[in-house]
Amino acid sequence: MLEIRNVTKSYDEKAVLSSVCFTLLDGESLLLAGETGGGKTTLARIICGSQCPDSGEVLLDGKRLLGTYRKRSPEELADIQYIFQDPYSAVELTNTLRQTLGETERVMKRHGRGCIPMEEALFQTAPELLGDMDKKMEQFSGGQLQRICIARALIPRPKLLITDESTSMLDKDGEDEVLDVLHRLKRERKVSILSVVHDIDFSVARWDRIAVLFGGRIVEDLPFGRFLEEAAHPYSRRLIESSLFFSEK
Amino acid sequence: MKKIWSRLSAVQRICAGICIFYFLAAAFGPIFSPFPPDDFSSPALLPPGRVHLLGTDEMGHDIFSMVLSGFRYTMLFSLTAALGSVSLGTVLAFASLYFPRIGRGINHLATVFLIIPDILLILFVAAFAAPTCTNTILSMIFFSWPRVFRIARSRLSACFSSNKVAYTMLIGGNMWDVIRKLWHDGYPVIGTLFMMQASRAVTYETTLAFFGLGDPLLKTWGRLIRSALNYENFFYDNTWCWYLLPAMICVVVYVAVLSVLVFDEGKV
Amino acid sequence: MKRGGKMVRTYGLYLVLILCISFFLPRFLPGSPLSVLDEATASQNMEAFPDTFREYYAPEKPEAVQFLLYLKHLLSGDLGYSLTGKRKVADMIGESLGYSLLLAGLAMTVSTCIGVWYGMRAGLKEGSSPVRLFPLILLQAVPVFLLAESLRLLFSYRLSWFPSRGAYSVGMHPSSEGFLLDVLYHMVLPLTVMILSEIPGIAVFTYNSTVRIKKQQFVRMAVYLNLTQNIIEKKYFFRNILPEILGKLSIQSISCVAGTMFVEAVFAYPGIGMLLRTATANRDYPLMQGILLTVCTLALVINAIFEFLIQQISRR
Repeated sequence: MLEIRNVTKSYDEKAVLSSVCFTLLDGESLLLAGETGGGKTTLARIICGSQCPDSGEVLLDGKRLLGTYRKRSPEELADIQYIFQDPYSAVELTNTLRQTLGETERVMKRHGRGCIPMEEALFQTAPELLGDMDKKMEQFSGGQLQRICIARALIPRPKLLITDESTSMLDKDGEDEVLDVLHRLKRERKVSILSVVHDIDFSVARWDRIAVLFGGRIVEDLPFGRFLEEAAHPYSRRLIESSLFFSEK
Repeated sequence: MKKIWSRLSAVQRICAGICIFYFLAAAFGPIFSPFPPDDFSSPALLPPGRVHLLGTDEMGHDIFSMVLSGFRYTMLFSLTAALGSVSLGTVLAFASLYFPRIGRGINHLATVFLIIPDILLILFVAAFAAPTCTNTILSMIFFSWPRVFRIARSRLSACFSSNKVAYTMLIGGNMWDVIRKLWHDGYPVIGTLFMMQASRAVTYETTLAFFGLGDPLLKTWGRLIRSALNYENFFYDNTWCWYLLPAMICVVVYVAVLSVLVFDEGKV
Repeated sequence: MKRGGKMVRTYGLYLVLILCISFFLPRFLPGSPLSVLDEATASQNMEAFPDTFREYYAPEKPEAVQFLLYLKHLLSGDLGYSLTGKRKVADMIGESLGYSLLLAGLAMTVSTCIGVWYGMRAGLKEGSSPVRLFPLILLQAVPVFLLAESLRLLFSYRLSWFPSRGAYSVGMHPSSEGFLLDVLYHMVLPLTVMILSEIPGIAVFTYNSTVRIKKQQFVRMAVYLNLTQNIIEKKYFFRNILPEILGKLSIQSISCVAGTMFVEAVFAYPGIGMLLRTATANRDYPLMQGILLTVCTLALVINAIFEFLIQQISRR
């Protein structure tokens, strides 16, 4: 469904991504791990069109996606949805819940894209908020806001959800809420999920695959189950060690 | 309305009150005018008295009536020039951010106009072109939009790079969707800019009048100040107290009050 | 080096834009004798002007040719022939430019020193209340020519402390005894007016910048570590607000040049402002256009110098 071919990007002569390649199938979930500043967010932004690669291609269902979002068609834009790291900055806090979800519905309908109703989307991610449609966004917690952002991402029936460290600004409860929702969505709605993370929690088998980005390249790309045994690259081992260290605590 | 009033400090309330007074004086002032401002049938150079509250000038005009008519012209100039330049400036600022390719061009154009002293261009236009009120206002708008542009652009630029606006653009939202998203963070700067431009417009008009430019028939404060300064005995007797001072105080208070409001608002 | 090249290109573009403005403005204004919008009336008005005017502007030729002719004139330093002075515009401006630069330069220097010092002091005081800046705001609200006339009324006529016009007394020459003192004496009032009109802008801006830096974290840290007021002032504040102040000074210099022209017009000080006053009073178009071009180019040069300084300082 999604194919990344030889994507390269540099900032000020420093190569952040060098010939990055991987694929993602329908309904598959991929965890992209790597060091801070290592290019994960850049890659996520290139896929959703907010940045342009220096070279290489991003293909959705075999069709090449143009560099920036301005040049992509509304359909292509609706197929890939991006969840921001900080939910507080991703919405207009003085709007109501209805207005926030309504914006997405309005824009999608204008482009003639098939949508699911906002109540249904919200039911998938935050059913307890269905009665709070007229509450202002600033009154919700971080976890609730992030789930609302996921709901509005579901409205246009996307093929791919990209979540960029979507739980790092939340507390433990919020984090659990969001991860549960993402997993349910993957199981029930067959949406592919590309999750960019800083560190990995191996205690629960939530993801299909893990890819590790190090030095601008994909150094590891294994199914989740086999990662603990087969991961060979030194950075991958470091990730595993630190995750085990913290989970033991 | 009440919410805005309650949020203002004491100083801001005094300034706002003065602005309202000016506005009311512009609207209703001429009703209280004892003489029509261009009536020069009264005896010349009378000191203040019961009939002529501020005396008369060397041609026989009642100064008090002229000061009252000045409120109207000041409001006219300052409000229309401010409205025009703020609209033009903010629209261009938005356009330059939404369409980044033409944005650079507009930015360069605005920079050139900011480097050149705008009052000079306005003077130039007033001298070369037909001296009508419309021309003066148009030239004020045309030469002062860059200042509005620069400030509006820097405020909007922060909004444009925010995540919420990025989201709207990533789902294929059009210009209006983006404006709706920006509105809450962006509109306060418009109020500040409006006040800033309104005060500048009055300074421009006064300066133009000093150089003998602009419509000679309109009895603005600038004209009044110029006549007072041109009066042959200006430096030798005390006529300036009731001839020059009233108009001067009106101008200075207006500009100062607006500057204080702008200063408090956004530290522009 | 790359940045230098970019700057040259940008300022080159600005120079071209200024030349275009200077050329096209009179041609697009309704009622102007050079107007291309209403050629019939314009050519009627042209009758009143002497041949030198027509030769210089050549309105009968097509616009493109006129522009090239204009550029050719400029390259040879020919700004036209003044209608009132009956001399070359370039000569008149050349004689007056020195006085204007002297006045503006001195005013800028003094008001910067006082303004920055005062603004920083006010900003660093505890409980930054903007009320102490109100007298400055009031001062700034007075149009500069009014300030000039008021001071002239008080100090020249009523108190007779200072002369009311000119750069030097009648009959004095540069070679006369006491010429320098005479010039200084005549300069006191215009300079004072200029300084008074420039200080508020600089002081208020410095105050705002200082207050903003004061609220930043690293300064709170320095205060917490008990560094004395003086050290904080000198090391942290000044270095941090310097690029901003330079930016403000860049703009302020240009409004200083404009203000100087008005003050000169009031005090009959033989700078460009005096020329401007006679030019506007008599609709002397060549002189006005020459002044516009000169002042715009001067403004561009000043701006370029400040840009360069800011870049140098930001690099460190």
